[in-house]
Amino acid sequence: MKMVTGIGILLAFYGVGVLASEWLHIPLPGNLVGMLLLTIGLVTGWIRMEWVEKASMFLIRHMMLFFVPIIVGVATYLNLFAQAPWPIALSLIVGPLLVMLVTGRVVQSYLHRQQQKTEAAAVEERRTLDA
Amino acid sequence: MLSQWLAILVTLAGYRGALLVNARFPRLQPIIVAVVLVWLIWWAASDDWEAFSDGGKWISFWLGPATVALAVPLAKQIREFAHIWRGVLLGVCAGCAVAIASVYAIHWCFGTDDLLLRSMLSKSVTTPIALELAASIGGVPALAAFFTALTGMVGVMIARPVLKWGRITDDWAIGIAVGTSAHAIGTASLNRISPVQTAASSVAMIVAGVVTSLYLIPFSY
Repeated sequence: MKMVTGIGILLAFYGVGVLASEWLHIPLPGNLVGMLLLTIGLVTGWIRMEWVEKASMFLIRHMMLFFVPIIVGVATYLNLFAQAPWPIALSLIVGPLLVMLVTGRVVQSYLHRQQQKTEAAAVEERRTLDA
Repeated sequence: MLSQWLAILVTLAGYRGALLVNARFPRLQPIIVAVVLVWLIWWAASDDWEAFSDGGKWISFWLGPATVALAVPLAKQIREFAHIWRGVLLGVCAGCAVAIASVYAIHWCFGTDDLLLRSMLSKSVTTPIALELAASIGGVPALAAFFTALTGMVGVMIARPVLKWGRITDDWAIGIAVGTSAHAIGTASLNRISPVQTAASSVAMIVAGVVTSLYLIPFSY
């Protein structure tokens, strides 16, 4: 039963997200608007975590499955590669590689710096307490 | 009608098969195995891709509610996120700039077709946004969908070695890096590993969509 209500809530938020994005001309697709709305609902406690948790975990666990038809359908365009094989292949590989490295390094060094700062603050605090 | 049901069955069977393969060979990414299996079965059985996409719609519809469901890991991590949002924003802004610059640089070196460039610029954001963006900067949405899907697949394939090589080990850094470079396909591939990475990746996917839209404004003229 929990599963069915959970799926129902998710579908409702998806529907509201799609309508909101269309009517209010929000520059985000409906599914992302729905995700943001549900996040707000969960954080404010308006939607209880246990109502949607089980259904959400189920859908997220199988999210890959939902991509399969899209990717397979798009595979019919593969002959496009013949048009400019090297540039296309190169940007498909180099792009994600660089993006992943740069993004990961930036976030990680930020986290490290922040961690050092909190540690330094803790040491400082201890010193003032001792004194 | 029958072929729609067949498409659904073949997709489910391919996915099931991919999970079985993944249990035996954990290094093979299940999403890639599933796509190859389904493609091969359908190609051998009917080769009617219009019928396949008619049936496949019933499965891909669930991407909508599944994306909404990402709110659950996100809400659980919201406190942590509020603490580090500056670093996340910085990382995503840098990553999206690199994504656009790399496409542009390769286009400039090889002198490829302008239409191709405009269909590729949005390839690292989530598919629905990529389609809109491609249309607004004069690209072909179908082509953009193709490049976006391939980018996601490549991102999933290279993630492990690249993250290891770059010594990116923190859960938030991994999630943001994969979400920025391989959008929802990357996010989907993380969810079996860690809820923190899934949450981080969902955040990155949203922020990357917004940031890339802003970056591409000059291209719409």
